[in-house]
Amino acid sequence: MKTWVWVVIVAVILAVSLTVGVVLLTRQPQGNVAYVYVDGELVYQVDLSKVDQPYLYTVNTPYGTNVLEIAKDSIRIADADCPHKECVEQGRLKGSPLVCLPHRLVVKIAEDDADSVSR
Amino acid sequence: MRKPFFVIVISVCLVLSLGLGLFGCKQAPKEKTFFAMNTLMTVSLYGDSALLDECGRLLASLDRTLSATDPTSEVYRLNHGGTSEDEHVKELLDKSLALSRLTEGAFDPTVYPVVRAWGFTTGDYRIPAQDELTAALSKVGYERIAWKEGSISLPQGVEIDFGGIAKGYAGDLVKRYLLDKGLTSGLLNLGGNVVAIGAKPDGTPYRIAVKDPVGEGYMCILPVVDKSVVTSGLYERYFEKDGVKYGHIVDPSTGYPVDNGFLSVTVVGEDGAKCDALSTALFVMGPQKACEFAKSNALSVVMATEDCLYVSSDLSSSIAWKGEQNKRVVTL
Repeated sequence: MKTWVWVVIVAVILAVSLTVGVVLLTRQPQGNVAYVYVDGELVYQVDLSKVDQPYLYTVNTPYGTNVLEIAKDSIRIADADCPHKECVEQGRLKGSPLVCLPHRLVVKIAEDDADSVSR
Repeated sequence: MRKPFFVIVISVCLVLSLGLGLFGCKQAPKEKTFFAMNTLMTVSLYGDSALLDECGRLLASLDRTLSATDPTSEVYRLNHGGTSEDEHVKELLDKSLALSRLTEGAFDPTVYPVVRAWGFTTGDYRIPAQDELTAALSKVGYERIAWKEGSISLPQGVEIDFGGIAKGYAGDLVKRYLLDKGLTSGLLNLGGNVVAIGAKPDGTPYRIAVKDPVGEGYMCILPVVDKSVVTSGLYERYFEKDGVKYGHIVDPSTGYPVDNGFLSVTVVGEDGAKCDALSTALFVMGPQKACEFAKSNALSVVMATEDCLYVSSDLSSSIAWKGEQNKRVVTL
């Protein structure tokens, strides 16, 4: 085969692998997406860096209701009808997930450089 | 003319397969979250996702057996004059009593009536009156349980709660189940008790952070292979009354929540139940006694007070401290 055929083949393979690589890498979750789970199932997700206007989002779980307050780079449980309201007292989501045990609700951001946190 | 091109093609293929291999390792593990034992539990594994549901069933069934508040549980029956033949209850009682003896009562599963008097079992926190506390304390004492084998029953008035060891035990149980199913890599987080099964699929250790006991971030990160990492801290559950903080770790000898300068105690080891019980026991002992105990029993620990970080010599070279640490680091 001619030299230029090989050059083309190599170039195509390189281009494809580069594209695949870039796509795979950019698909990694961004650091500021908040995920809301009820009973371990994802029920809502929001990229906090793209929130312009603050808004309230109500999650109706089979066990009760939690109201999330979502603003730019910030999410908290503003209200809930659980007995002790410990989830509301946790304030804004920073490191540890927000948890409402009675309603089996968890709000978290994709974990960073640690695989898990002992607490 | 042919040869160099052949070499190029081969090397391109090699580079590609290497790249794909690396991406393959970056693949996210399969993960599921459960609620059991009054806490949040996450199981993530590199393998068959059908195993996740079975893990959930295992945890839920163990929860039903060990709950101190569920009237249908084995432990509830024991605490109300009944007997139990349950294998998990037997194994846990055996382990608990051995650890109570080892720690001379700093860990004691019979402290339950006192913990309940403070409201830590329900969340209805209160400061018990002195005579109520004295009455509750009179029921505490692991030495009074004489069980060796056969069916279990408790002496009149004695009540047990496996809260200080059950999550660790649950982790051991789930780990054993997954290993039996041929799993080689996975990570459990049972209410803050972390269990690393093997190493990551690429062979590197799991990176397990320990929560900063005062701030929001991490205190440190530990590389961990095939071990449990259990932390006790007062930030988990406490209440404040008249400016005083009352944490959920109760000293079985005084009946009062501990206030001895410790902010958090982490124990690393292969036996998760033991790590769980010992993290509580070391916390109760207080810094001075805990350092001596950890040293003489060759425990892997990271312990934090207001101005000092204690780390066992086996962890000291691999631990990565995080955040602004202006504390003295003492290697045990």
